Amino acid sequence: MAIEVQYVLGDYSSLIFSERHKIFDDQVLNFLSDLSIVLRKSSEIRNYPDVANFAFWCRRANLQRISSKYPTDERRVGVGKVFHVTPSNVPINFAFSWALSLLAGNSNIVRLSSKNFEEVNLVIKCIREVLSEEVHRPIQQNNVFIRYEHNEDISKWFMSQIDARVIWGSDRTIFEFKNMNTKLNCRDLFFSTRNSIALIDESRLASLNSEEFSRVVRLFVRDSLTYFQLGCSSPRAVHWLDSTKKKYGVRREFWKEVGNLVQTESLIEPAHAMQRFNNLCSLIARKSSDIKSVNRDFDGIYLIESESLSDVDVEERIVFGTFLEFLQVDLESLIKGVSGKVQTICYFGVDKEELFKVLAQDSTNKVDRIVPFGSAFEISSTWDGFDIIRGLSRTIEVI
Amino acid sequence: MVLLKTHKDFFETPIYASDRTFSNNIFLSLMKLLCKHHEENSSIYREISSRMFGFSDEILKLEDVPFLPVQLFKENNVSSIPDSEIYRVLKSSGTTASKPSNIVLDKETAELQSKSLIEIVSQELGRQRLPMVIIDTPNSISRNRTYSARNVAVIGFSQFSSDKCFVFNNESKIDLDKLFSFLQKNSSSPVLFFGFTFLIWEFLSAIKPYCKDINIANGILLHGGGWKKLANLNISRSNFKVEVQNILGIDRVIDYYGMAEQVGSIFMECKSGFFHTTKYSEIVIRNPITLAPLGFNEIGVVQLLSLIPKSYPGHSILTEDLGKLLGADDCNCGRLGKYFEILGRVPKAEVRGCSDSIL
Repeated sequence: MAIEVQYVLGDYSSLIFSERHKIFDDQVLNFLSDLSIVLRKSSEIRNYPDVANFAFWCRRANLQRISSKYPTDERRVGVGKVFHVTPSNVPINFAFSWALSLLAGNSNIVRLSSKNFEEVNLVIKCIREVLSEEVHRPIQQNNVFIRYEHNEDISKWFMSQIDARVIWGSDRTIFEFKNMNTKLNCRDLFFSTRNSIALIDESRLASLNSEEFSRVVRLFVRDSLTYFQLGCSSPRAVHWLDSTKKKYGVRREFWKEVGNLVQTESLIEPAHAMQRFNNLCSLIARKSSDIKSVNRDFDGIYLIESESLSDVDVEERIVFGTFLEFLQVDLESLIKGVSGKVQTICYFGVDKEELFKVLAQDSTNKVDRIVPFGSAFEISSTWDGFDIIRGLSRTIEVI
Repeated sequence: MVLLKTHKDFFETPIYASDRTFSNNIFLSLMKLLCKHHEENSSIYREISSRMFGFSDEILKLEDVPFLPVQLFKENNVSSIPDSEIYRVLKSSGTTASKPSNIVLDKETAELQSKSLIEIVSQELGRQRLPMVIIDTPNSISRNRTYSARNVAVIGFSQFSSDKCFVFNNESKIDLDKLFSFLQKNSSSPVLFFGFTFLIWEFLSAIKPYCKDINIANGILLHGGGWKKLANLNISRSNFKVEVQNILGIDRVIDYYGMAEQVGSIFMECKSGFFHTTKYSEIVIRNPITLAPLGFNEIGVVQLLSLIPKSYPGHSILTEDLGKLLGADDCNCGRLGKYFEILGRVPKAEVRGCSDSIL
């Protein structure tokens, strides 16, 4: 079996006597903040804004800010060995998944995507460099990064060894892992495929001066196209609050600028554009009655006008700069209309408290994040409604 | 045929007489009729073209003609005829790892494919039949109800043969004795060599040791099917020609470009080394991101238009090839029509699924 598992960093034997720590242990904070420094000093990082984002996230000040949310009298410690299956749509997520588990006091087995992402290689290279320092030896012994091709036996074996697992995956991957036996008290954090929407108050947008307007467009583009619109947090549908036909001017300006950015900054590649065109044609071929029209007026992006498509129906197809557009929505009907698959609402010009109030009253589980434009990929310590630190640690009650 | 006969001189028009006047008037009006025919007979075509482009009566110029992505034929059964009229089904293997295209032909479309192919190829070979060496297996010509693109090409081109010799046996081994005796027998006549580009390359490598024994002074080599595999081996068109010359002694090497989705209306390489449109075909190069039409000398994605496909809406397709228009009606070779180069496939993007299906 050992032959089939590629140990990218560390090896499993050291994990046999794995240690655990209390949450936000100094040793872990020191290590992550050293990692942050090494990452930020590396010459390649300018090519990978998402790696830079991670490096910025794990600097000491930010980790301390996160730790301040957890009162020390909770007396939290890690649960033990945590197995991570990391996603391939947003390569850097492996690092967040692992670092949060480390902060929660655990030893980690991180299964990396079999795709050879440069982002992953860069982070692993820097982790290796920091771990080579004697002072970080305990961390080195408690963290293993592996790759292996689909192999149920290997997965089952790991499942029998661990105390918690964090599975980022397609629904299929999650079901497969759910069907494998684990220790009775194994903690499960499953992050399934989600999609996200944007909510814009049209009259607020119209009131901006051109500089502010461009800034909002840029933030929207960052949220939606950073991972070619494949990220779960990237909006694929755009809902316009308070829109009326006569204000089409500002919507037109908005989409024009979005399309311009997509083109001038080469946010999608030719192959993506080809795939996008094919996706749309296939979607029409399969669901013609659901699609009123496809607006191709804005070079660089496509807008789909539909009254019947929900966010779920089309999640796989609406990528690479394609947006479903819904006009004249109000908050109540918006929340009623979206499915439980919706993870994030990226908002502009909308009262977040108002939005939260409507969501909190809804009788179903939907929407786990409400974030302003530009923050779709911001990670604190909560994801998909789970507090990862609490999820991967336990409280020792001392009375 | 019926449709093309709406223009009374269409079949009398020489194959390379399609100048801009012809293209903007006769070709365009026939193309619009074809669009209308598919709107009326293929619901998939109608739904897509009406939502993404507009209706056929709004078409004012060639660039307005709606186009379907070539991938669509691999994922859907796209037809403009009732099943009872299906005469033959073509399956194109397409790109490796993707599903094959399913192209349904009625009798009329199949005949038109054959007619246009004869017209185009006889410009190169003349009307007389030639002894033909097929760089393929005898199986490639066996008739089934489904055909691969390679089958279709071999069957189509073997119309031009007076006598045939298959270079590979059905176990894909080269039968040299058979080849030599065929060449001996036909030494007094020009011999046509035909095959897929990458198979010819394999053939050349295999017979290189015997090249002293071969000299086909009067040969023509016609090949197509794309450069992808050879480009991966870093072999250019001129390398290829030099090797053909060195090993077989053939000077006339003609490449052709065509799609399994548009059999018949192929594009022949001219004396200047460029592909040409014919009266049956047109080409538009598009910006790969916006799909807006591009001008001469700009590299973009190739859209191919053909007057042949009536039984399926393949009359205007967006390929996955990159190309460059070099001009129209003024090629040094003297042929009218647009002339262009093909520059390989749109490079693959890094594929990021929404998540690993790793288990």
